[in-house]
Amino acid sequence: MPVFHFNISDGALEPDLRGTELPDLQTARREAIRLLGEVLRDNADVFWREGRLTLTVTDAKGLALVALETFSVEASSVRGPTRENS
Amino acid sequence: MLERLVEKLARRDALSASDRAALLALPRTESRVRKGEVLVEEGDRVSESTLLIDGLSARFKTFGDGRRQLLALHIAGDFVDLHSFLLKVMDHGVTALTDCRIVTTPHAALRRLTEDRPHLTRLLWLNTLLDAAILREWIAGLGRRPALGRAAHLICELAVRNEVVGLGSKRGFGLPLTQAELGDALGLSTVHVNRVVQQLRDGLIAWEGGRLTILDWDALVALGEFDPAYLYLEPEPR
Repeated sequence: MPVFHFNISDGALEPDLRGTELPDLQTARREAIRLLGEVLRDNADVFWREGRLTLTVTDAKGLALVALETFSVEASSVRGPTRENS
Repeated sequence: MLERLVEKLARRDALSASDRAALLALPRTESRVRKGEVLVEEGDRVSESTLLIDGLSARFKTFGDGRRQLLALHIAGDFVDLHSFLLKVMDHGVTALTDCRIVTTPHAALRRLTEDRPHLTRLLWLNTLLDAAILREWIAGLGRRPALGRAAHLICELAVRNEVVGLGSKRGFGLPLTQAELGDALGLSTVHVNRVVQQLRDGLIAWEGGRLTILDWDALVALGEFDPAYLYLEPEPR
């Protein structure tokens, strides 16, 4: 079975050194979404600090196959110094 | 063969010599099951209960798309489906995760024990309650523990359970599971388990050839927020 590597980068690079054997890319896509959801669920504060999380699925040679991008968007009223309501 | 079950019960309460002998004398049939075999299917009506003598088995439920959740892991000495004695019909399946040796004992024999021996009956009842306490801890973990903590907690739990029956310790125990099976127990995708295991291998555990070695017990306990109270390790008159 082919080996797929699931690399997460959220500011700190977390390479998947060992990879996982999966039957095909279809399965890898499914696993990637599940992994993304599970990692986001467990790391809310880390995500908001960085504002971005990328999950890249590569083959055994390191060739990127599919990637998932998660990024936050902030309204200008939210960004910058907070204003006191009078 | 039933010595480990006796050890497991005796840890929680003193057994009289007579009750001990009665347990060890339960009529039983020993057999072997191969890794991957399903011992009991969800929906089966059963007339005997299964005790695990050797190997690793699991309770499970499957879903329409083939996904599986493991609901309990059994080690030697665990009375895999004692509760079927009273429930009669299985609401879950049981599968062998490794080659296993099991004994089955007819429900009629268990009923005779309950008619003559009230303290032993309470201890058998306790055995099912211990399963339930572990299940509650698992549910809490599935609900709220982050991935790394779930894995750490399970490893701590299995270390303690193996220690009770003399099969392992806080230094390590046998864990011949695949990462997919670990994922089925922890409610995590296989790939996430792979990640978590890589993180744990960084100083906390070694896991090779089915053997899990614990390198830093205290760190594992902290990571898993593990408190063995739910395993009821102290004897008390029951």
